[in-house]
Amino acid sequence: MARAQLPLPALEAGIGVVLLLTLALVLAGGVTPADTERAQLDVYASDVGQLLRSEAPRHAGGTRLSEVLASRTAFEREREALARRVDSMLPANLRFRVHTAYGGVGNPQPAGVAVGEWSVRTRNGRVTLEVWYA
Amino acid sequence: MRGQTSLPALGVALLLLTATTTATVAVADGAFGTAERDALERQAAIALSERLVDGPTRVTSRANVLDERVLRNVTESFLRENLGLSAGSEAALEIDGEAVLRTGSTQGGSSFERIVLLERTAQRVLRPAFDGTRAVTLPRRVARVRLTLRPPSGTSVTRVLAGHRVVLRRPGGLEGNFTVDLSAATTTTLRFDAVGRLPNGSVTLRYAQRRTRKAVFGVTVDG
Repeated sequence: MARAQLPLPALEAGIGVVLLLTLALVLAGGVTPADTERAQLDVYASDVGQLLRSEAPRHAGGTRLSEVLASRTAFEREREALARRVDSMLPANLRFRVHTAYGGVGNPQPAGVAVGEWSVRTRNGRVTLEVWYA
Repeated sequence: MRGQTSLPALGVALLLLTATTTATVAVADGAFGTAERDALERQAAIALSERLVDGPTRVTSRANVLDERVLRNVTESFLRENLGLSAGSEAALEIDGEAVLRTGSTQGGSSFERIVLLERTAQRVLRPAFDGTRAVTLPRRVARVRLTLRPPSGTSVTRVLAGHRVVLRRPGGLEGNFTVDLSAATTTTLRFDAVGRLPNGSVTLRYAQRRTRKAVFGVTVDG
């Protein structure tokens, strides 16, 4: 008769409290953490892209970008200079890769990192600039 | 008497549950409120940086090119009236980590970094001596040059060419002030066709030389 019995309501209340506390904990951890990192990377990429696009050419052609993309030979000749230019524009803690119809230039891209992207269509195919934190 | 709940136990259980529920709702409310405020703040920071970097404002020379002198003298009222910074928000602008403007105190807040070129213009005056050649090469990105032609008597400047293009021409002789628009993308060589001597000082060129440097432009909005 006098066996140690947990009163039923206490048990139910206990379960309820545990459930509610779990919910509170989840919410306290943050509601959908805003994807600030990704947005910032996108902004970096588009800024550098914008600057590249409006930059004057080194030799001939309308802009720096169209000069680089004029032909496969032009791309091969200019790829080092392009990489140096993009590298100098980006803050030191960022790595990048430029994809063009003639191939890519820049750092090899690691898997599973947040990447910011900017791309533009040109007469010679699409150019995509990707940046990520080193 | 088995299986019967005691009244005090029920009371305590209810009290406990109510208290926990209230606490949870409060936490949820706080979390959602913060998330919403963060999102709005982030949006405001992006929008403000976008307006400064992409223009048209008097800070923006071209897309992603800012006039450094104007930027360093930007005022709070300019941000509030022209760029739509709301009255309850504070903003801070930085160039390469160095504060340019701070309205009130921004603690935390949302920050965005933009990659820009800062442009400075300097007025230059050039009086070419014309040793052997009657050509003068201007630096790159000079979009406009003001020419003052004061040839000595007996000399008439008939034509001025920018590259291979004739920009000024008068068979009777050019004299006075002229403004010539040039292509900003290429380096221009101006050539002067003249009959007679062209001593030092007979041609004066005035132009604005623009120099740019790259910088990281930080925009923070709080509230």
